[in-house]
Amino acid sequence: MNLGELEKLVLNYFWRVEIADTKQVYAYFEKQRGGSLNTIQSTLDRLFKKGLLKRHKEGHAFQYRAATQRKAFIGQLLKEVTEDFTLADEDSLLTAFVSLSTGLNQRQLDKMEKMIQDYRQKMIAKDAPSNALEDKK
Amino acid sequence: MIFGETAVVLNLLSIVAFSVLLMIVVVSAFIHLKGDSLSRYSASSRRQFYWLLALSPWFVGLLAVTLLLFSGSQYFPLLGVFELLHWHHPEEFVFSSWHSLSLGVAVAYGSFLIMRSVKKLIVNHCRVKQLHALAEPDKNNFFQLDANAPMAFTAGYFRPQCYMTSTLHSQLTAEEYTIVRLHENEHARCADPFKKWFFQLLTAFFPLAIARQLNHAMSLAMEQNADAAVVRVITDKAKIAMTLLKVKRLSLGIHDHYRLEQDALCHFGQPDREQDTISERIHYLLSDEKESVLPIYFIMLAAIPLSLVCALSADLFHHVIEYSLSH
Repeated sequence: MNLGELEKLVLNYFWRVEIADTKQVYAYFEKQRGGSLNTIQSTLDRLFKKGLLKRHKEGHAFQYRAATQRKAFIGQLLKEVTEDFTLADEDSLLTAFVSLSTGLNQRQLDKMEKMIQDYRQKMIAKDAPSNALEDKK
Repeated sequence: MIFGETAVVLNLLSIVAFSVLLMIVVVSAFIHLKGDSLSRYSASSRRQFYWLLALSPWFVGLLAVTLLLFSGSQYFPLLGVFELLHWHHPEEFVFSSWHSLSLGVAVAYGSFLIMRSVKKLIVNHCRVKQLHALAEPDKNNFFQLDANAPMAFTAGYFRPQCYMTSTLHSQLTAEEYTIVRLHENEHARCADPFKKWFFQLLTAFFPLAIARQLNHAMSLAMEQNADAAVVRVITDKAKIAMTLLKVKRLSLGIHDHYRLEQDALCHFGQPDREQDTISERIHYLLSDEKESVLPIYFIMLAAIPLSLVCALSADLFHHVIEYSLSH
């Protein structure tokens, strides 16, 4: 799904105001960046067709609101980005701090934690004689 | 049939294609037999070596053609050595020949792989751009994403940026946040997302299992390199390892969310490899052993005899094919 610059701005607007009609959206963006009512109308229509806005009729005008909340939308985008990374090869394009792969279980992680703690103990024991020597000095 | 310089170029291209194929076989055999034993070398050394392996088919192919080109020249200093190399109708290229067929297949397959990779790059670039539009930079220019998945990553091919989700940020201490930030900054500094893409493009010419093994090894080396960059600032290696483990534990919480795509992929041996990735990173971090360094420049010298072998094999292969076709 591709989003234009104005579409993103309008979506951000709906994550803040919850519900608005075309004229309210136009009034907001006219002050912010100019543009015509028609541009806003077609942007709202595109976002509705993309399933990002919901609408219902009140009198003669449509009332719009966001179909998904900000967190859910970003979560969906993140999922799409990760899909690009995982489809060809699990370790492919993403340089993530840790991968999303599920190849480890809790027991194996516990085992690794134990290993790190042992290392820490070993380092403390190694440093202890030199610290004692410094204290004596 | 084509005569003249165009025919020479086409004949040279078919030799490049043959040399590339031969080197892919050689590198694949090496990775299959010795790939796992490279882990004892330093991450930066391995990283250089994997680049060398991925580039070697093209490098050797070009070198083989250069040797063939100069083998007939009186100005070439080692003229006597190359008496074995001789041209077969170099200024003549027949479209209905096996030369033409093999070159056609190589060009078509190569173009397909390049186009597929470029398409993937463009699609991903657009998605990352969308994500970026919804991210807010913090005071360290680490872009924050308002999402439930606990993730930190670097994305973007031409101007890579580091991203962290609000959920992960909220669960990290200041020191852990610094560790993640330094790690991701190193990826951004090295332009790792673009390099990963380019490496994938190069390895796409290898058999799938070998390409996966190479990509996995390169990915691991990049991660270990980024971990090493953190160690230069935060010397407590145990703390870095614990942060790695903590983020891994948090990511396991969203495990089910991603399960569907992961399961639908049929990764060949991937779960075992992932186990190696995190444990290898931790082992590498905590290791006190002195790292071995691969003699990269010495290995690069091997390209010269390999190019000669490729050039001779192209010649030999030519004889075999022409003999079997005409008899």
